[in-house]
Amino acid sequence: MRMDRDRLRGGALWFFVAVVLSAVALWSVAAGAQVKNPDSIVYAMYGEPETLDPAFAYDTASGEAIYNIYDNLIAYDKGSTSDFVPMLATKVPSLKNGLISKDGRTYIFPIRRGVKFQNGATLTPLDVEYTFERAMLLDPAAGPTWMISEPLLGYATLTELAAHLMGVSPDKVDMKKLPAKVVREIYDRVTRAVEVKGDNVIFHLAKPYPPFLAILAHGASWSAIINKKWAIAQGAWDGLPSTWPKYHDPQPQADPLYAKAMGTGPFKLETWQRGSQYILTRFDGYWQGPAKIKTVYAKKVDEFSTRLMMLQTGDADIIMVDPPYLPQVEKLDGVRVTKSLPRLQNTTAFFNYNIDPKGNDYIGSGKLDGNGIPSDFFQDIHVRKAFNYLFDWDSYIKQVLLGQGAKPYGPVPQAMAYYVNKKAPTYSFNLEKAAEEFKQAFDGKLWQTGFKMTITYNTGNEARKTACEMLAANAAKVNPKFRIETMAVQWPVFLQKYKAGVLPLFIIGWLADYPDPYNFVQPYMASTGAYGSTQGDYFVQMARKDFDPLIDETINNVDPAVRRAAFFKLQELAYERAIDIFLVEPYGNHVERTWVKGWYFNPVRPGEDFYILSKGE
Amino acid sequence: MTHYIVRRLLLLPVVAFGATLLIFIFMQFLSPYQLVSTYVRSPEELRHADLDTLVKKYHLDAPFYERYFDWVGNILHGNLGWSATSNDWVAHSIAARFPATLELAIYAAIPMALGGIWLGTVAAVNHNRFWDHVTRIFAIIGWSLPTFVFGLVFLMVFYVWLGWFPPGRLSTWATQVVISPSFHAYTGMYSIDALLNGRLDVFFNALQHLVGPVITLSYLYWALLLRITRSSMLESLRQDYVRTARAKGLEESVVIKKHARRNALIPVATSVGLMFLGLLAGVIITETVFNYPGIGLLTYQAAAQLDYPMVLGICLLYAGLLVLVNLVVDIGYALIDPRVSLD
Amino acid sequence: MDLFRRFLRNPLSLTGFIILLFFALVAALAPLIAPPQGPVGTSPYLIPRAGWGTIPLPPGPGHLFGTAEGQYDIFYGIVWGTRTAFGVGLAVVGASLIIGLVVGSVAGFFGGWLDELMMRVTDIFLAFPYLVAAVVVTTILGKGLDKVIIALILFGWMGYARLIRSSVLQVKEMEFVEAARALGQKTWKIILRHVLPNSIYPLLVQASMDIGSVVLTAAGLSFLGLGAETGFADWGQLVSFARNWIKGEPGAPFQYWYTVFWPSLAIVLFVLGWNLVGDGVRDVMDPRLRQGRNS
Repeated sequence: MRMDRDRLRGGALWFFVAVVLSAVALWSVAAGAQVKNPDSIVYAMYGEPETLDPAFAYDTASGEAIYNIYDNLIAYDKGSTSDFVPMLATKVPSLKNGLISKDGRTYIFPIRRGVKFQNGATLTPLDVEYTFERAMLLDPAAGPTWMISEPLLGYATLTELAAHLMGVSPDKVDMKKLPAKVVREIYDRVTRAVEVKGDNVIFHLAKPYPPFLAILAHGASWSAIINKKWAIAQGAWDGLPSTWPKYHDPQPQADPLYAKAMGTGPFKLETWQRGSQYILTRFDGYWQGPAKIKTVYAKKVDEFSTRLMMLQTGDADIIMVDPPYLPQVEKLDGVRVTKSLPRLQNTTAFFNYNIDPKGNDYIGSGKLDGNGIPSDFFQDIHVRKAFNYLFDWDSYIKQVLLGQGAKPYGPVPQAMAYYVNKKAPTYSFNLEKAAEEFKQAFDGKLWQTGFKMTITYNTGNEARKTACEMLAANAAKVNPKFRIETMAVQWPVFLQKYKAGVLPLFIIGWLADYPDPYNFVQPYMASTGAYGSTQGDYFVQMARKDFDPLIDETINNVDPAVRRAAFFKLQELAYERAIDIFLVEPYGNHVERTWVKGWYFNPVRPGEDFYILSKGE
Repeated sequence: MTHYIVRRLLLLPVVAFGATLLIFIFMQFLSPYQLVSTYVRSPEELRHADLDTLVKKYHLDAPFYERYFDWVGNILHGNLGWSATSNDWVAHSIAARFPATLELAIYAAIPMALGGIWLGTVAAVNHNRFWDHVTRIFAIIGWSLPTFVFGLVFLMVFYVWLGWFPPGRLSTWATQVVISPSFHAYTGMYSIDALLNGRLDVFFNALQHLVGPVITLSYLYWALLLRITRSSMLESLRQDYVRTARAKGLEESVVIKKHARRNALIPVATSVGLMFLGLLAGVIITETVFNYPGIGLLTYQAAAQLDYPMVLGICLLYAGLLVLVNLVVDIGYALIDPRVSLD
Repeated sequence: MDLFRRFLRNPLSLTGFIILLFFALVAALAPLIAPPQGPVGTSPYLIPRAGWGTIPLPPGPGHLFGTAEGQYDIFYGIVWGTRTAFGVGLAVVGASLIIGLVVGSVAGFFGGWLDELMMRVTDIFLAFPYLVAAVVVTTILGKGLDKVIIALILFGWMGYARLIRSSVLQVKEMEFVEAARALGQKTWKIILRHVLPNSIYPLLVQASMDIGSVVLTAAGLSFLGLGAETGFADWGQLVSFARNWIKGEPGAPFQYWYTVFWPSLAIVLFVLGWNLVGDGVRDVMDPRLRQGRNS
């Protein structure tokens, strides 16, 4: 009996020995350093494409996949954001070569001959025409096609165009029940905007539009050229004048191209296992010559630690890394880190000039009594200036972002250096000046009573959380009666509160659609801008009076010098009025194994370009 | 017996739809602008989102009962709806992910059951002695150690240092095999498909990827099984037939294995069945750490974006599974132990 | 008293008891062990930060256990997190227990359609796996520990209800209950006086173990970003702060060990304590195990 219990005990002993041994024995072996998967690239990313339809996609993950599968008419010259090279067009139109008309309203693209699609079909100008016409008619809600419709039709959406044709306001228009006449008229306008003549495709613009080439260039997924016959075979718009309303603004699941892709680009879509990875394989008939890499595995790996380990073992060749974690990859053997890459992106703290006081938990009492803030709190320019002096850019960039960011001069990021006036003043951290401004605010009353408010950021964004906390801590230093609380708001709730206009101050970022400063001043400063229009009636009035004319000047002029002057003036106004707190222009980085060759940076490119890469020691 | 089974099966849809109705009632607290977060996923996307248009487009402003009946109506037509977070049909998405989770749960169930029962036996036989204490503490530590700490440390040791057990489901070369047209996906469980296709190399590759999550999960659940086995064993060790067996002079190991443990295993079997369900549902964190694309990850992503068609689909799945597993366990229990009456 | 002495005679039960006693002391004396540093009026549960940076700092003066990601003081977080752990565990289990008691005893005692209805509702709640249900409800309610508590209560009472119901069903038929009924005692008095005391022990054993599990589930929710608000003293959150730092810089494996070690240790010990105590109580109370040890 005793013996048997011993035997069982012995079993237990072995069990533990096994566990402990396997846990301890391991600190010795290291991973080898030869090139793993020599003809493939494994790319570990977070997020995944939302759709593969070029006319629907409006996020960088989708844009990245489309970039590698499709080609555009023109492309950027290597790392440049303003010089173009031909791609599916044989020439880049310019005033000089006469392919852009003098009035800036006609663009001619000679289409390359003999380019093969991945299914073997040959590219024709009709494919190009179809691509843009379909995009305008697809017109997905909150999608990218406004960039094509606005220059070509003069209206950002078909709903606006239809409303104009019918003489009613846009919210009265039911796009599924348009009169036949309107359907036809819209079709006519769309087809007239893009024409084929011989080998040429001609665009007729409603008005001069300086960023138009950038809207077409490779990297702009909405302008990727699709094959007409193939698209129709998949169930996309059949090209007939009367049928397009059936295809207009589909639900994502009803869009036949959402998970299919077939272009003239260097890689074919092998499979997309949604939620986990997509796989691209080389297209051997690529017109610029086949890629050096045979297969691309773009894997969704949300956990940073897992991505890091995959990189270290060589199972991943390229991974995404957030700035705080760069030190963990920088010293790894066989890993190359390129950082401080200027991007067309910035992060801003927006003031709400007309806070909706109804049931609002974020503004305390809702009065200027020391226990809250009034609804017009940020209409006082001294308050706005004071808040700008409260933000400590140096500490923020150095400590929180580990140097991976730049202090902005205004809404336009420095990546577009020509349009940024670097000699103009900016706010900097200064508690005395903040106090001075606060003392003048509300005729000195604010300084006496103090205030209480809650500022918000979306849950999970730790850098933004710290920005809020810094503002709060510095406000309390200026005057202990200034009480700012910070609060994480979950994304769904944030959306609701943002829509309701109850957030007194909120932090959001902007990412360029195309590399033109208009794409920054418009959303930030125009009365109709994506952000400006949500900052309250006071802001809208101010914008309409002082900003809108200048913004119009930047888009109606092709002359860079004239535009530059307008952008400088806007930057100055943004500073004088302290319209927002321009927090930071975060830098990008690129982390790859050293055996990956050929990578270079272009801020416009939505992610990786697998065509330029190769592998080898 | 038949009556009992029929009754349980009839209750299945009632419970399942009750569960989805419950979720929908919770959802009533949400405004259309909160629901639109499924389509606008980050602050950066606000730059091009016209929230009103989106709300209208997806009928998010309809009252919740209307949306619920729409949803039920669609189900009766065999359509679970569209999930914007996974860019796919809910049914298709679940069907694509479920085999991965099922495979993981099946493999995890084996070491979980064997290890748990074995540890429980050791603890019971050495009741209140050294090995009882060691096994119990060992198991409780597994239960209480945060899953992702264990998972990440496991990866560091067995993946980064030793290169044995990588994360994910398959290596790149094996993925290439699995997606090739000549490879038939019979079950969606790669290890089983590989055997059916006669690809031993892929089979071993799939197993290699399963080791990490399997160990993590089974270590997690050993404590529960240990406790049940231990108390059940303690009880049966005191039963008359065990004493008789001992008195007959049988070897202690025979007494324990043949007599005591066999009877003690009846309640254990029940809980293994239920724990299997726990495995299917308890994989959220394990799947995240090991980047294993199954249902767990899907659940979390759908919930975080308030993607209600997906959340409801998953609820239906689990409600159905739970009722089925319970049914099987109960029937099995009744067959083993005729003393149990089915009321 | 004899039971208690027997309980303490078991070294594991004693260990569990001491662990819990230790945590209770830490919770009670938190303001003395880790005095709040914020200005008066701010919540002491907000962990002070050693700087604005992200990278964890090693143990040193001012932050005894080092700092987590975001430079939150780990020692402070652990000490005040003890209160959070007790709070969440006791609140969830207490409330679930009460709901379970009411539902279970009413269903069991009255039977009939009421029983049927209550048990089907219980089934519906049981149709959700616990963690899945908690994830769904917390996302709907929003972030914050109070929301976590609500979610865990909502889906935590069913086990108790079933347990109570079945023991009520057993006790109900016993003679003394029938006698009490015959004597015309009020129903609720019968339940309180005769039925519950007889079914309470397994319930308490279950509850003590569940307190540990609840804290674990809350930690899991924190890992998924659904738990306490960032910076709130909560062990689960402290551990999840460590998720991106487990590996450390090249050449210095486990460089940031302290971000993982201390909070994990706290959680493991806490859960261990409740489990050992629960097991110990069961061993002592279980009538089947009462007749001494087997050997």
